[in-house]
Amino acid sequence: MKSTKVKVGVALAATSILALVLATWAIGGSQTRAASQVGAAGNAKAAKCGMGNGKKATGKPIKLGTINMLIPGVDFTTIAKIANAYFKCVNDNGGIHGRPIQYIQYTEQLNPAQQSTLAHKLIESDKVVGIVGNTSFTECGTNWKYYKSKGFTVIGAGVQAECFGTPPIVESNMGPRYSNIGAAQALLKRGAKSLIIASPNTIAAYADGGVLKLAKQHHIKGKSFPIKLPVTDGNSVALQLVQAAGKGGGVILDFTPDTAPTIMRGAIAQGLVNQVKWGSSTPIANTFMAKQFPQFDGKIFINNEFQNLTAPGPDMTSYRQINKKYAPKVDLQAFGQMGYMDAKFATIALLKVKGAITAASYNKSVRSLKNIKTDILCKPWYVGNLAYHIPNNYDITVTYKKGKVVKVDSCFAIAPVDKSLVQTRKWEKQFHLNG
Amino acid sequence: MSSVVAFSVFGVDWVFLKPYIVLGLALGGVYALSGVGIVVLYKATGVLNLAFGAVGAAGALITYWMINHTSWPHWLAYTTCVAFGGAVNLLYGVLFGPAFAKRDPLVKMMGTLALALILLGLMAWRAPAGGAFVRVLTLPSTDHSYTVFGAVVNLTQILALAFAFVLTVVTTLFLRYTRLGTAYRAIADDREITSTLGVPVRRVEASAWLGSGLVCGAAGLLLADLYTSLDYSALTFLVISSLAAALIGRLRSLWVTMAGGLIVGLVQAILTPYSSVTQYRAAAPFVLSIVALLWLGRKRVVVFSPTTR
Amino acid sequence: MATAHAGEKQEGARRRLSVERPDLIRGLVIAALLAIALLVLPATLGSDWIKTLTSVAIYSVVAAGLVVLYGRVGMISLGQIALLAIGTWTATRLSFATDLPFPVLILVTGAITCVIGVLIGLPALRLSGLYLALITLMAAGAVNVVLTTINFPNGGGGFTGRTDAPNLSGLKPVARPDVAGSDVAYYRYTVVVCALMFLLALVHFAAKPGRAWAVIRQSEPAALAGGVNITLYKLWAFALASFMTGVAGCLLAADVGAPTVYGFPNQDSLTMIATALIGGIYTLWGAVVAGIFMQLVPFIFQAEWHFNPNFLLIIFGVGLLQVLLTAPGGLADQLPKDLAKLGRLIARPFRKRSAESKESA
Repeated sequence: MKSTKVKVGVALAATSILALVLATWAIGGSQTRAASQVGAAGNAKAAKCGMGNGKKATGKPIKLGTINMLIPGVDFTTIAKIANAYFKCVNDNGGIHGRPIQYIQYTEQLNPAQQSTLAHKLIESDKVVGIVGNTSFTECGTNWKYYKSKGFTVIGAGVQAECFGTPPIVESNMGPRYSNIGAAQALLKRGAKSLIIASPNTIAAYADGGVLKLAKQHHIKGKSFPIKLPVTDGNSVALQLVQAAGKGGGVILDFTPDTAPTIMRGAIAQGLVNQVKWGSSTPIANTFMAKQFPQFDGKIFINNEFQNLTAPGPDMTSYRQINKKYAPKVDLQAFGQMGYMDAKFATIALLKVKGAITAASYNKSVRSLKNIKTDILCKPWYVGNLAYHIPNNYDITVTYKKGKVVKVDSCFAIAPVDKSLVQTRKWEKQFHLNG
Repeated sequence: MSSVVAFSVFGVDWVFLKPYIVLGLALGGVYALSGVGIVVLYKATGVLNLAFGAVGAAGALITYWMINHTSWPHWLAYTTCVAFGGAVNLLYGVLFGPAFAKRDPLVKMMGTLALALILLGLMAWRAPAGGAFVRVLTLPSTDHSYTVFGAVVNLTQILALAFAFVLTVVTTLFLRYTRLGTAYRAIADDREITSTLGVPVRRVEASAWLGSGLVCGAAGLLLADLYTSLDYSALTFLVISSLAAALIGRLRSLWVTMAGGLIVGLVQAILTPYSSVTQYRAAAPFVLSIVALLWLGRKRVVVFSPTTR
Repeated sequence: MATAHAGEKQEGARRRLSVERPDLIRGLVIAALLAIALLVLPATLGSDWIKTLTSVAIYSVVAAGLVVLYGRVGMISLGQIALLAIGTWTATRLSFATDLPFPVLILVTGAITCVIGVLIGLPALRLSGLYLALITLMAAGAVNVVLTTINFPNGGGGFTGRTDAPNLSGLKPVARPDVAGSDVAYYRYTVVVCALMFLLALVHFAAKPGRAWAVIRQSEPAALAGGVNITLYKLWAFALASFMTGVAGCLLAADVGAPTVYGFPNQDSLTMIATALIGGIYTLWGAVVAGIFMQLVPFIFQAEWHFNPNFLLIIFGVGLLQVLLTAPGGLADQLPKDLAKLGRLIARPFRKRSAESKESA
């Protein structure tokens, strides 16, 4: 009996080590590092980070925190990584009046109890003065009441309705609902005869509602397909969407690069690419996707909430430089732009605080932000003391061309099918929030 | 050749339904393939391998790495996946098979569950997915398409189906007409007596693990291609569909297992265009498994197996 | 005569006392641990720890259900997380549709989940071992697909209680009891309710059902021959485990406030059975250890040590293999044995010396 135990114990140990070695050798470094240096536009001037004086900050750290979703198949921690890169740049350039920023990053697996626990930990244990960069399918819904009760205003990147419909959360992106409307507008402009849209089913009701309203306004067929993730039959989904659209119709995909390729490959395999006009929300507007799908060149119209990754403006140049210097392993992508902006806006808010930097003073400063110009967005960004925030509501359309992403429609307004969008634009005029 | 027949099935036009049948058969082919691999292993060793999908997914990840990060020839990468499947299964069978040999089939299955957890953890830890890139593994055969009965089929789909059929035929013949095959059936019947008869039981079992493992590796490659993206978590849980096929075959008959796999694939695909049930179609393999299990246990059986202590 | 009777009486009394002593010690230990959990921990730990411990309590009740099903009766279930999800869903729906006071909500949720568990258990009665495990796994998968499609209630009407246009400011989360609104108070409330669930299980073990389960587990033919109604007691076990899981689900709903299907991934069903076995499937102590492994350890890994929590899956897998092969009783069984061995090892030189001194004397 004992010798069996010993044998089994040895076998267990041997297996673990062998498996570890095998997998580590084989899989480690599977991250692709394709083309992260997208032709940085020569000597274009870069925006400065923070105080921009080249001096290392050495004072007492200012703590900021973030919670990002990380589940098998979807990884939003890129936003935190780039925000952290921005903060490192700030710390190398004088910090906040000499004090460096310490950025505490947590990840969550969509478990609401865990999301709540982490929010409590950040605010009550880690005692951060602000929360910046949160991105998740469900965290806004779990925690917004808690943030409101603590007087925190979270700057992040959102997906859910609650991220664009509650007082304490303001996002640098537009969210799938408005991005999809933008894609629908691009398709309608090009004569699509129907509007079919597919989204992950947990967000479909919110994300697709705008497109359906737009279809109704234009008296054409509109249908929403909530898709269960992970997609196990990309061919079937592609077929389903194209059949519903009919010839000359429009199909809008609302997925991240973890899922969209499955469906796009299904469309290619079934010979469906030329049967309809394709549209999409922002997440697949990057060169990695463009290189993978030359079959969609000029045939897919992607609504991009942010400026092109190769654009020459000061913030875009700064983003590329910061990415290269502080986060070289991360590809340039929309999530990176979100992280950059979240961190930049937070830094501006910190620099504006007069007197002691506390949770109260920082968050008050955040709420006072307005007319923040950046070349990454079509219009200046703002927060304001509003019941909800949709500061990013103008954007562009892009498509693939020979492995690159090119702009086809310049800045346009997202169609005001929602009352909240109409009200937001009224507030913008009333309070002069964005010039 | 255009179809003159135009009718609708429960409200969906035949023309729209056709391509789903093709798709369903192709995926069903891979389920059938894995199902046969699972059943053969179960017959020889009493182990229901829950880690089938996880091993295939890990192999596919290694193949992906070899194709995209080294300059080694692609055929080597594909063979590595198949070999990896065989190697990991063989290793598990040799290291832990004897220790589990006298235990309940439930306990044997839990052992493979542990293997699946380990592999899942390894894959999630060392090869996490990222926001701007996704791993895609396309077999060269996917580039060739044909039009069959008005639906577009690619060579990989045809190969999956053909492979399933060939494997079933070969394995059936193997079990019936070779000495090794007879040894499998003898061990399944009574391991102790078979070993006293001079059959090298451990070696025979090891060969079953190896054979089943090779099928596992091949299935991993095919699924990664047909599924159009390398999502190791989804690939791991696709074992459920293969399990459904194996259960329909009552964990005994290879031909019924193959039919079961095709049925599972077909049902799931055909439900797609029916909007009232399309969102529930992912439940098809689960529901079919439950029906198969209830049918399996329909006779009132009093358990004689020793307590699982 | 009289003295003989008195002697017997004394003998009986002494026997009664000596039988009760280990139980007494156990009772005192449990009381002490509860006191620590309710009084000492909230005073010393931060609110994020307290929230994690609330989850530990909830999931240890689920694991206790597994102890009942698998440890005591020998029926394995790979679908307890799906039942937990059903319990949470029911509690959320009822909380929006009615104004039940919280204790009543707990009982009603438990009862409904109990009925569903029994309904699922009925056809599965004929199955055992491998097939039972598979059917519970498949049922859990099907439930997951359904829940992913209908989602969790958010204030709408109809059966699913889901509306596309939720009134976000008016959205009231699943309401906690008035007496336990704050996180710390709710933690205490949860620990008390979970302790009551453990007590319920213990009462069952000590009474007739426990004895019937033991016989069924040992040998069904013997149970049949002994006139035990196998069907009734198996269903009773399902009912108890489902009731406990339903109660845990209600506690989870109020803990989280706005539950979603992402709180119950398919993978959790596998990790639940793995941690339950690692913790120890034969005693309720093992259930507590299982809860710790499932909730506290990942929290420490990730929030305190900033380590990728996926690494834990590997540890669970290896631990499961070890339990299956060498230590079927899990940690709850192994740890006291190892500690006793360690104690004997440490005491050995002292015993040797005293033996030598006795010899030389």
